[in-house]
Amino acid sequence: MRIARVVGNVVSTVKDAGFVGYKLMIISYIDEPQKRDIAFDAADAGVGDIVLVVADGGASNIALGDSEIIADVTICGVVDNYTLGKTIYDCH
Amino acid sequence: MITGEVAGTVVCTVKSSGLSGIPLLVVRLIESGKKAGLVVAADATRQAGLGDFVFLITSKEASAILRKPYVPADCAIVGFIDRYNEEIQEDWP
Repeated sequence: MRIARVVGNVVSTVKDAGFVGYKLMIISYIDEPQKRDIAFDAADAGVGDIVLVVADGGASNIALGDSEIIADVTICGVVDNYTLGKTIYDCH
Repeated sequence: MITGEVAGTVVCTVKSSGLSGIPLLVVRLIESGKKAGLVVAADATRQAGLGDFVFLITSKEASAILRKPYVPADCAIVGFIDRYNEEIQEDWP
């Protein structure tokens, strides 16, 4: 899993049938700040939140509670704080 | 999933049999406005055309979403983007 930050969202009407009903959030990873990815939202994250992201199909099905959906990157948690070395980063 | 713009098509007669019958499109990857690479993607929606702003799924989910057995694809177009709202630009705190 990776820590990422939600920097925006995406609206799409014409998409795969299984994606209907799920929010699509744009995320930027902690170790690759320039890279952008689109993730399904299984933890009601808002823009600006620091989140926990999983990047596997099976885990995404579990996080979303939906066995038919074919998803790869999914937000499965909102981080309160994390420590890196000796510094504590508070995410609220 | 990653985002990109359809930039071209690929015609390939001699190929793995699993890929037959699936449109192959050249997609210019775009990450927050900047060009970020070029991939060939299988078109799962079968509606994508030149200049469409699409999002793509990668790794084994790409072959799963084509809903066809034994497709050796690792990148597939799965939807069209109507609005791409990126509200936070600055770097990590």
